[in-house]
Amino acid sequence: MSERIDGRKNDELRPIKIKLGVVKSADGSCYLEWGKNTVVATVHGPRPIFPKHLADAEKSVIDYRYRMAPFSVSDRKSPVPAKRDKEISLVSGNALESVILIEKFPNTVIDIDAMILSADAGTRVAALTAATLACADAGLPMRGLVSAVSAGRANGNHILDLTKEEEDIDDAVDTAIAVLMPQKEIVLLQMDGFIEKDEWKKIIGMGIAGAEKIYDLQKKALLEKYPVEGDINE
Amino acid sequence: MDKKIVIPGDLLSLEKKKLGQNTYLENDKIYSSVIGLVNENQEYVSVIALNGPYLPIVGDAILGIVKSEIVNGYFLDYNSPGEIYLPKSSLSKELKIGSVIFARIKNISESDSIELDNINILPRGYIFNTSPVKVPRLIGKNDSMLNLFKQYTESSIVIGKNGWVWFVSKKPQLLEKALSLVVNNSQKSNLTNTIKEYLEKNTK
Repeated sequence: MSERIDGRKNDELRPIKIKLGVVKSADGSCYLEWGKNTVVATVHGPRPIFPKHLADAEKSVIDYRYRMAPFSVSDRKSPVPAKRDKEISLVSGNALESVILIEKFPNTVIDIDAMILSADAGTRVAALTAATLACADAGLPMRGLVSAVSAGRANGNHILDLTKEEEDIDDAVDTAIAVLMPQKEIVLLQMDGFIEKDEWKKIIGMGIAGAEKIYDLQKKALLEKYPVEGDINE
Repeated sequence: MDKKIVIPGDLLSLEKKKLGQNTYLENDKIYSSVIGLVNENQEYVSVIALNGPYLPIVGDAILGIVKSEIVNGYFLDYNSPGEIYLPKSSLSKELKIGSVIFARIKNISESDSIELDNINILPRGYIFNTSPVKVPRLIGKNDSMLNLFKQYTESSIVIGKNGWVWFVSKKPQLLEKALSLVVNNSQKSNLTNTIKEYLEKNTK
């Protein structure tokens, strides 16, 4: 068993730092550092939807926007949303739609923006992890939290939380898994690469175990924002 | 008082209880749907949210700001998705864009349009914008917090259930500071005494 490039164990995450309420003009926001990934996620709404024909009389519409900043990668990324951005926005939006109790806000839209400031593989899971915390920070009613993580294979090892170097290895398989915690329902599952069925099951198990670790960090960050004890602060 | 904070998805109760605000039922178990403080007794469980949007309820007294005018009425903003239509026939005086009114929700129709009564037009003042879940803390038990604000900052204050606070004051900066102190520390206990100390220190 060969060791990983950055010296982590196979089931170890990169260091994660979370801060809530960083964008004052938004209803809820979250800043997330995940290894070399940096994400800012904000939530605006629920608010009236325009144009009106997009409205749903029974539930709110989730408008999730995943965008990479032009300076987030070593080559400049065009700020025009690419097909990849649109696809990730769609699937992540659908994942959050199943978690937020949208039937409470008919005829409205909830705008969720996830901006990647710095990218190093696994940005869609980092964005989703940050976005769900921003939603919780905004006080939107939700069934739980979405904890997302990537798992896969590189150099024949099954590993959690791949970096860009590991993703570029020729036998690499990258799976993005988002789990609704604490119910442990999978709400997003995407895979890139070729793999056997047995290995696939192992990777999914690894991903869910990783999502539990993410959930603990999310929980800690949420409770940190509202300290029950101590002096009043401004 | 011991306060317990829960986050979305936390298990509240395995027993059958009445579902209060911000809870949901799944597989006969009760979970929290927001981040907030648990309020539980023998047959009832609810969660007091620490942040969140305003959802109108019949009987709420709310503040509204005139957003636009049409031939026979006005449209009001009220810190919530949507707007309220206020017909001119229900008013004794003409309003301008930006006028503030304080009124009670009389009825909410099936199509979510809101009818108001007991309409008061407020004079020129400041608006403090916060989340509707902070309103109980701003008023306090038996208006204790509200009276504290009025006494120390010599102001008249109107608090709408929708999270808007209208005030005219001789010390507007101090009042605004005190209001934001309450809002930012709403999860802590014994807040009234702390704010009283703060106001006493700053009015001398």
